[in-house]
Amino acid sequence: MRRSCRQVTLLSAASRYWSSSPVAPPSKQSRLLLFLSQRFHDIETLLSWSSWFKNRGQSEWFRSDRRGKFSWDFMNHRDTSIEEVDVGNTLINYTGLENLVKQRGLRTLSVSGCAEVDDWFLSRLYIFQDTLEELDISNCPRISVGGLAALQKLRYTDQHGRK
Amino acid sequence: MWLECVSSSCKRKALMLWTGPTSGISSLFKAFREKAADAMPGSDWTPFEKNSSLPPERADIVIVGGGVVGWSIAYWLKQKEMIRDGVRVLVVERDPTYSQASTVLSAGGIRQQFSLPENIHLSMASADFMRNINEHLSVLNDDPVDLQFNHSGYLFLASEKVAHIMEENYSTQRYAGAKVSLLSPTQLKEKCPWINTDGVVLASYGLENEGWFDPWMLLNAFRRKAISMGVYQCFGEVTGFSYTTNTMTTAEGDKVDFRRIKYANVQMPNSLEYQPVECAIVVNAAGALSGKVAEMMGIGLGPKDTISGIPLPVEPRKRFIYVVHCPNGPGLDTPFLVDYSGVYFRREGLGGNYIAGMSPEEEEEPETNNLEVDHQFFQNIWPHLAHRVPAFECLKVKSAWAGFYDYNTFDQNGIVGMHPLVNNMFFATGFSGHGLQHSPAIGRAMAELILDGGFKTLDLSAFSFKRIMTKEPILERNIV
Repeated sequence: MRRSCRQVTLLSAASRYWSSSPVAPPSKQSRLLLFLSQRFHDIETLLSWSSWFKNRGQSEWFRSDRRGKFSWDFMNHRDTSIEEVDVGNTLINYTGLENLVKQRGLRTLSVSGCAEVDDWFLSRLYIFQDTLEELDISNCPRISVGGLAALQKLRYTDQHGRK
Repeated sequence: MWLECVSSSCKRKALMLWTGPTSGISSLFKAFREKAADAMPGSDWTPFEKNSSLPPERADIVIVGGGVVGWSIAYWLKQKEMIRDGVRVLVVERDPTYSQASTVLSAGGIRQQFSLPENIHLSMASADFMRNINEHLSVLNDDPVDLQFNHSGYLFLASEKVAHIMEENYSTQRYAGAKVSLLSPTQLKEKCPWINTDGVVLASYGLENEGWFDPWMLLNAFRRKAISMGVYQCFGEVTGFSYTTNTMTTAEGDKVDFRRIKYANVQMPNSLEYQPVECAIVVNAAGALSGKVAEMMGIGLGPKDTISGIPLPVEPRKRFIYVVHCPNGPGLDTPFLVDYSGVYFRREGLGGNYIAGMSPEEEEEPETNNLEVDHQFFQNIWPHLAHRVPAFECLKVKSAWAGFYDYNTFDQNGIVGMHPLVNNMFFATGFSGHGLQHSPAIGRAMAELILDGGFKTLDLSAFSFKRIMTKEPILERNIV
């Protein structure tokens, strides 16, 4: 059954989908999404627009459909952590990053085309310094040299982007 | 005189009411109201022609010093006033070219790596301000503020002797919420392969909200916004104060003079013309010259063992910054590196230039009557630079400049608050090299102190003048 994320409450999370993946205690991921829709407007729009995220071991992306509704299939994968996040072309900013900071296994982040991503956003990406491998900051008009100086903290990252 | 003026204009306007078109009535009333307001005491109207570069005759708050701290206080005062034109603020600056101002000659760094929680919180609040600077300081139809903030972080290196201090500071900083990390020599070498870790036992690296920015942009942003909010700016020098004295006797029978400033005399540049500005509060934000301004009020000129005999312990100290060029240097990734020998350097621009400096020993303090650079002093810096970064063995000094610290000779930390004997003089000075990075938060704290009567967001009572009276310094451990 498809439901809009805006109606999520902690109680409704109790309804589970049984699937083939091993059952485990609630993961940070589901907590993350509950936070997302309850806390920040940035992230509500993130889920309702064309934002995607991908789990470890899965090769398909979770994305919202044309009507902006988000499927609940991700609840099948409670114990896995998010590996790749694509928040391109959204209004994510420094405060919105608050919702992603708990993702310790993040490998790819794409913020291409985000108008609100500036140098301060980049300076906060040190949180992912151990795991981030790919960072896409193309078409972000507010980034400057000062922000690129902050990216030295990311050790394994292969960055690509253009103004 | 004003009665006649009002009644004659009344009669004229009454006549015009009957004859003129009806759409002119409200403008007539408006003009009448303005004229009546001018006639009231406290307005700016004078029968004589006034030189417009003079400050207004009356102001609620006079801020002595138009540096970044002074303008930050002016902005926050206007930001916090409850009603429009609630306070009239005047900023008096001596030098319109800012040729000797500490603000613009600064290296422009901001860091959270201090040992006093107050300093850490001041830096964090200032960084938050700068992150959202356009929400605070943008002016309609004008360009947005671009501080050119480089988020490179500060890297402090500690030798064996001082490593324990660095560890204690690290826990204080973490507790206060600053994002700092400690690095061992191996981790340091991995992160910065161009460093020579010889002698380094521990390193402390700021992960967020640290770096450097353009101080002139911040100063102008504050100034532009404050002027758009109605702050008066005057280029002139405060040469003296007129005050009233109230002598009271203590329980032991000693006499104490309480002074209240009534007028601040502002003298025009290159002229004998001066304007006594009647004011309620004076804020001393004069930076390196704050000691002189305090002396004008007699602070420090009283008998030796009394409160009035304690001077404001702020004096100018000259510091040099050298611009060097090194093509094989560390590059874009260079943090603002501060070595335990006192030498610091950071990248400047993208052309392989770096700026470097060092705090001299007490005995070697240069004289402060001018801003001439001592190029010989660089010979003290170079060996430490080359030892720490082998690429700097071949560098070329391109240029240099000097600036003043508003150096607090007592404990090298700011003095914020009222003077105990001069009831309407507030200090915001003595930051000894940290004034720029703390200026947004200091401005807010001073505005809270003046308008709300006490500190609301950050408690800076540790920085009050009281510690100078009781001779209890609060020292930063490991300062530069």
